[in-house]
Amino acid sequence: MTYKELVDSLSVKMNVSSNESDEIIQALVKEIQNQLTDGKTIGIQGFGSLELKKKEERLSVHPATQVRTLIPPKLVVNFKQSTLFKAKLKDISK
Amino acid sequence: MIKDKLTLTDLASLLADKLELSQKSAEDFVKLFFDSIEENLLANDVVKIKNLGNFKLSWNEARKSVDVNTGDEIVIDGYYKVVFTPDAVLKDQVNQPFAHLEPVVVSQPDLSSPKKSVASPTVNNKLPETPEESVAGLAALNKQADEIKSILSEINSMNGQEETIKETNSDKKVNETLIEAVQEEMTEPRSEEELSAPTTDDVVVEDKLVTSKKTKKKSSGWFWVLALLALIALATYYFKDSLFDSLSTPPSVAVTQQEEAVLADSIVSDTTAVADSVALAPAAPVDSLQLWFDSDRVYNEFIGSVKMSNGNRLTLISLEKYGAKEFWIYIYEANKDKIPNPDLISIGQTLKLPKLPAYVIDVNNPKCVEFAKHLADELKSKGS
Repeated sequence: MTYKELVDSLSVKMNVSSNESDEIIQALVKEIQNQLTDGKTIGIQGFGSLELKKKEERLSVHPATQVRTLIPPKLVVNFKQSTLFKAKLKDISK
Repeated sequence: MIKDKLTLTDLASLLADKLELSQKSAEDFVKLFFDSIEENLLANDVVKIKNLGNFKLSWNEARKSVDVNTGDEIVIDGYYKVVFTPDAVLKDQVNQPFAHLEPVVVSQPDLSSPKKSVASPTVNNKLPETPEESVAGLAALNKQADEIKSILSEINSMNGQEETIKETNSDKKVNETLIEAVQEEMTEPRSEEELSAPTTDDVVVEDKLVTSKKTKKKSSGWFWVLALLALIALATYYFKDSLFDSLSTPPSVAVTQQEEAVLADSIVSDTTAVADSVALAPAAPVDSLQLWFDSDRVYNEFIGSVKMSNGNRLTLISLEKYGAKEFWIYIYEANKDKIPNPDLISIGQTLKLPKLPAYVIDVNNPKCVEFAKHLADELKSKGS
């Protein structure tokens, strides 16, 4: 599903124009971004949670050239599915 | 108080504030937003959201595992898992605090001499040689290697003929031990790391011989003469034997073998000493290994046997007895007549463990492991 399809389907369900729908989604996304940047976790019941995680710095060695590189630490967004969602996914795998 | 975890309601109220929506409609919208993501994911579709990222399903294959409590084998079913790939925009914004950091290439210790340190203690007593002498020594060594090779190929060709003509058991055995002996000698051009295990293993029992070997090392001239003599003796011994091929004398064979082993060892340390001083790589590598790989492996000697019990596997036995699980293939080959399928061995069956030359099951030599794997693959493709 592309972003456009998502916007359209939401506009139909919410009974708004697709432009408005797009605006709202972008506002929501912006909000999620800001909250994550503040180091907060967003947990959606029945879906999962988005969380900020810190990856520590590490030393990587290129397997072929043996060049050792120090990779700096970074913050990444981590998604974890909820157990409820997991159970649903288990059903469709059968 | 700042809450660390935001729920759907919190998110909706933030959205409502921003867009001046009613709390209820904002909540509805957020709910619908995540519901439709979920819905599409359950239909195994990728959901792309601009500036946020992509949600998609990834399939985790079913795999075997062991129940931690009972030790029984269980199968973990395959399942789908949601994978979220953050959009570049989100990634960058979130990583703002560390954005200024760049990967740094670390200067490293010299890599030009990485493997020398793994050498065996036998190599420590190097011969004091000047460069000219060592070059000459190297040349002599190469010559010798060629000689041995030609003898070896002769033996090989004769082996083939003899086996078609006559297959007396004693004859075969002598040939094998001879080949082994020659192989021991042939190990000389290999790098010291590969050699350390086999040669030391073979010589450990012969304390006396080892000490005599040390005295030999002191005079390199004596050594070359001895090596040549041994070669000639070996060649004549073999030809004599193939002429009167039924007369086999196992004790003397054993003695020559040990002598050869010792000689090989001293050649080895010489080679490395020479190579060290001239900084030249030894010539043709791993001939004896290749010979082992190419030959039809026949297992006449065994170091023991194992009774199969529940949960035991060829790989586990191999790991215990030979140091790596890849060498299970040799156990299988030695027991081929008893095992129709290596994956299904009946419990209670007794398997013989073949005696394998140490250089064949050298865990540190990637060639050994690789070849064992290759054998296993071959077997698999044959079976299917």
